[in-house]
Amino acid sequence: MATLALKGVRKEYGKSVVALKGLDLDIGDGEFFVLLGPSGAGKTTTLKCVAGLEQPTLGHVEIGGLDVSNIEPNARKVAMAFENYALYPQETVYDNIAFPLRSRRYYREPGEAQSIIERVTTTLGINHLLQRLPRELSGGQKQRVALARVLVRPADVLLLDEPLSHLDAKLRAAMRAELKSLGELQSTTSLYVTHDYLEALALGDRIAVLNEGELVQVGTREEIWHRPVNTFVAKAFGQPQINLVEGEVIPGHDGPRFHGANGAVDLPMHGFDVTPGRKVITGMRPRDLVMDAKPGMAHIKGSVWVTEPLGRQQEVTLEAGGQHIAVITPLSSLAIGDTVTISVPVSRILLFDAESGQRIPAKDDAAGAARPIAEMEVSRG
Amino acid sequence: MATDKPSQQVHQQAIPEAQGMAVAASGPAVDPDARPRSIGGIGLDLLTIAYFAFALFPIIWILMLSFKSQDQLFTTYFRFDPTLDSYKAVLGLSSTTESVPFMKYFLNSLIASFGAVAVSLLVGVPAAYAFARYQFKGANDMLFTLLSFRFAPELMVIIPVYVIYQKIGLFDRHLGLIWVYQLITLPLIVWILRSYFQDLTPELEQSAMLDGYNRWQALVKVVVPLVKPGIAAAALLAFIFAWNSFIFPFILTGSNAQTVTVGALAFMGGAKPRYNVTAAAALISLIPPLVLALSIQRYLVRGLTFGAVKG
Amino acid sequence: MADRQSARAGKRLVLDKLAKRFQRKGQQQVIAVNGIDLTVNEGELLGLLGPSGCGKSTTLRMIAGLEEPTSGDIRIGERSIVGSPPHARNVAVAFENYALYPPLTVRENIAFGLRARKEKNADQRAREVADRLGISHLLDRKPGGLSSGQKQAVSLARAIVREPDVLLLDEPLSHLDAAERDSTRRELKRLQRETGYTTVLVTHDQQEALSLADRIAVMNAGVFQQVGTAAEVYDRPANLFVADFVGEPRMNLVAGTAVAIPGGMRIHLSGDAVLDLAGDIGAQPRDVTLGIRPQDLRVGRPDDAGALPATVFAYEPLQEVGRLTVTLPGVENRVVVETHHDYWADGGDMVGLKFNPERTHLFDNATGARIEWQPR
Repeated sequence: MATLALKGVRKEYGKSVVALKGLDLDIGDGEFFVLLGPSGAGKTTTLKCVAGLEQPTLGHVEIGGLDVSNIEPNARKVAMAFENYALYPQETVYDNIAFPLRSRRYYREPGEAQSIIERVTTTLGINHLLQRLPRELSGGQKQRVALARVLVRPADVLLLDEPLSHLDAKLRAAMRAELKSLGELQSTTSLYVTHDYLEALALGDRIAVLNEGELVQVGTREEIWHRPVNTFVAKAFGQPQINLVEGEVIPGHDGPRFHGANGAVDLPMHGFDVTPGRKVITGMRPRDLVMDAKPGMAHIKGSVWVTEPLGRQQEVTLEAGGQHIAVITPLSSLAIGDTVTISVPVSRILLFDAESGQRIPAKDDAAGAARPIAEMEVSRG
Repeated sequence: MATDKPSQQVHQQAIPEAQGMAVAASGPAVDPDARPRSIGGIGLDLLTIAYFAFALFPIIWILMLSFKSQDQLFTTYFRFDPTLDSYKAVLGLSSTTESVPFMKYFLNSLIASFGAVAVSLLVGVPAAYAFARYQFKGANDMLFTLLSFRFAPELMVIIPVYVIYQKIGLFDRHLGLIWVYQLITLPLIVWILRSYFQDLTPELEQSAMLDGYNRWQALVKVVVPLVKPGIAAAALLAFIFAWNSFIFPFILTGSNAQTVTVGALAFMGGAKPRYNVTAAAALISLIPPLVLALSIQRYLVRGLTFGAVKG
Repeated sequence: MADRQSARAGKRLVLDKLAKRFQRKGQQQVIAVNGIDLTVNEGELLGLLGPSGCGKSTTLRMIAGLEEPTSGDIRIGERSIVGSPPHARNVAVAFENYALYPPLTVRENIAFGLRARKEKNADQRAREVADRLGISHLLDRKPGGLSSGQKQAVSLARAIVREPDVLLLDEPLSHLDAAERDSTRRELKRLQRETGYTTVLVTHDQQEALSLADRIAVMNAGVFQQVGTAAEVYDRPANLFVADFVGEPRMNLVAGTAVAIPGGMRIHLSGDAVLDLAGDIGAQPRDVTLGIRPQDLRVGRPDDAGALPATVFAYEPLQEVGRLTVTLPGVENRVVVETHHDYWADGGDMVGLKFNPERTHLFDNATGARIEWQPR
């Protein structure tokens, strides 16, 4: 157990490639910290700097408050699960998992090693695979073996590099729940890298969004979801993507209004401190929008551009003033070209500066921090 | 675990037809691939046979030569009285001819070739690993320099090496041969193994390093076992090149460290060239590379790393 | 379809007892496609959905003429096309890997098929199609520098510029990233609706099929498991395969035994987990699999009337929704529940599950077939 900190970590490859542009992170003891970003954002480089497999060009890494710059990877008490699993192909599953316990540093007597391995493989449900070779395993099984190899040995910090990215969607969803329930992961300081926002939301005590070697935002899932620092973060979470409409703040008779998409999107701006004339972008999540004109909400009129059923719901793409707006609604018989009105819950609108892309805070941001929980009750047992 | 489907997938590997495709045991169905053998196909077979006859002919010829007696050498083609005299002469069992210490040359060749390969592996495996994994200044220049040894005709370097060897006492010594053979074997081993190392994902040894092993242990325990096929192939090639080397032992050895390639020629000297004995010597000197090739054949199969990563 | 503008509707495609068997030397015969019947109506987009190796690609290749059927017939309009070479079929394929010619510009790629037939106005028609797909700014570029989504659009443009009778799309979205996939999918659907090409979409992605297709043919082991609209396939799966394959999050499937009780039936999922449903199952006890989608379960207290007590395995607050994974006593398979986004639970909590009976499916364990049990 230990805290983990990155202090101004910069990593350059050669003269032209800057993978990390000075990263500062403080991760608490036992925290499950998720690093989310597109490919090339510098996520894996960050992990390798922590592991000692890469040396930062500038800055340093601290584990448990100690600068580990001069400590070899094998002495850092850091365990890492690699994206490609990195199983030793010539060794059985058992030997793969036992590998760290046979090293000088993490040595355990064979009997003791066996009982540790048995405990971990039982938890992960791979007891029946111990004598197989990696090539005889499915993707999901390999992933579990790689995880087992990380969990059998003592570690101050766990590094997990896209562990679920090679699994199909359904298996990924199931494994996500399993990772969530694994006590070892939840109690050990963990740095988890992913490009899948669902994994970040499901697993992360806190989430850091990384782009092009720079931190864009660090926060809890609620902060990131409800108060994304800019349009990049807003777009990174949610599927279908958040609707972003560019426009301008104009004066209205009851306060400033948003005027976008050639006037087709006209929304009240009384929740924000904005002055007329400012170029802004509004963000509306497709699941926040409601079909038909509801009282007490702002309205957008448009025509149906295309509809796509998604099982119980459908995604309706509206065209309003040359702008596409996606709405998730219950199934209904809408046809291309139909004129419809959708309703926007004003409190759910996000506002960004058009030039910088930075979010413009709402007046009730502070109040929004404490969101009501428990419409349904749970008895704690 | 309930939600995974691993057993199913593994099962599928064992019985590919079990899933995804329906199978009929047999039936009157049309078989699109079953066509009568075409004339083109037969012609191709004949062509292949002709090529093999052409390619193998020198070997057959030398085999026959080695069983001929001295007086039938130039008078017969395929019909002769086979005799083992040539082999006896080579092995020093016959007293009739002036003796050439062929077995000594044979031993010399073994020492020099095995020695050269061993030294090259010792130096070349880490070197190839370094070239594959680290980007350091001058890496490409060094690689190219190594390769350029193979461009130059050996004659180009032989004179200075000869002079140096005379001065420092390496002339006609096994060590001298082993050393100069590095020009042949080291580039081969470094270049072949480098590509093997490059094919291996670095995450394998990185993983080992995080699991408590230092880099050297990771190399020995994880990487080397995986590149065994590469090491076998490179070592075999290097051995063959060293074994067949002629110019170096010809110039750099006298009677003490002379090798079979040079020694076999001794049978050609003298008043009457004894082609039959030379042929026998050549065939005997073919044995070590052949045995070596056959014994490590199973390592020469690539693809042992299959299943290491994702999948 | 009211929204169809049918500029030039494609023709009807009929597969009649279509089969393809492969025989490799010394191996057992493999039946890739085992006698399928299908009619794709004029202007319809049919999704051919299945896992890899199910026979969907072989079917596509037979329609395109890249593979000859072992038996059966393929008709476009009234004309059988079996035996005619690919170029004589007026069937266009947009391949999964785009199959663009790297040395040619986008314009030349699109016009390639037209030029090959010495058709007139090749360049102009290429431009028109490019306009329609919003890629006219790319016409003079080479494929190498394009994004996956752009390559996909070029590949599609090349397919439709020939105005085919039937358009075949082979996993068109599989190489796109999430954002590109969303927009490309919408545009693809819109384009198909506007142009009215008879289209067969081959995909392994159930979401793609649900989104795009008028009807879906779910294929496995060389035969159709179910052919129906998205709603039919999603809400009335014909068998266990369809139930498991279609839908994300996937349908919960739990094996049990159904016995008749007064006023309905009781399903024993294990010794401790019992569910009562008001429907008719017949007098004999029957081994069944209970299926219910995560959206059709409600979470309450464990002691709620009619609720099935369960233990929380994990809860994932995904913001738009919550995803709760629970275990039922004595039941191996975990059960997933989609909850309101404001829900919260911790591992080990006790909850009660309520089933929406109208959305509860039963399947026969022996055959896998759907059991119609609800009073209709």
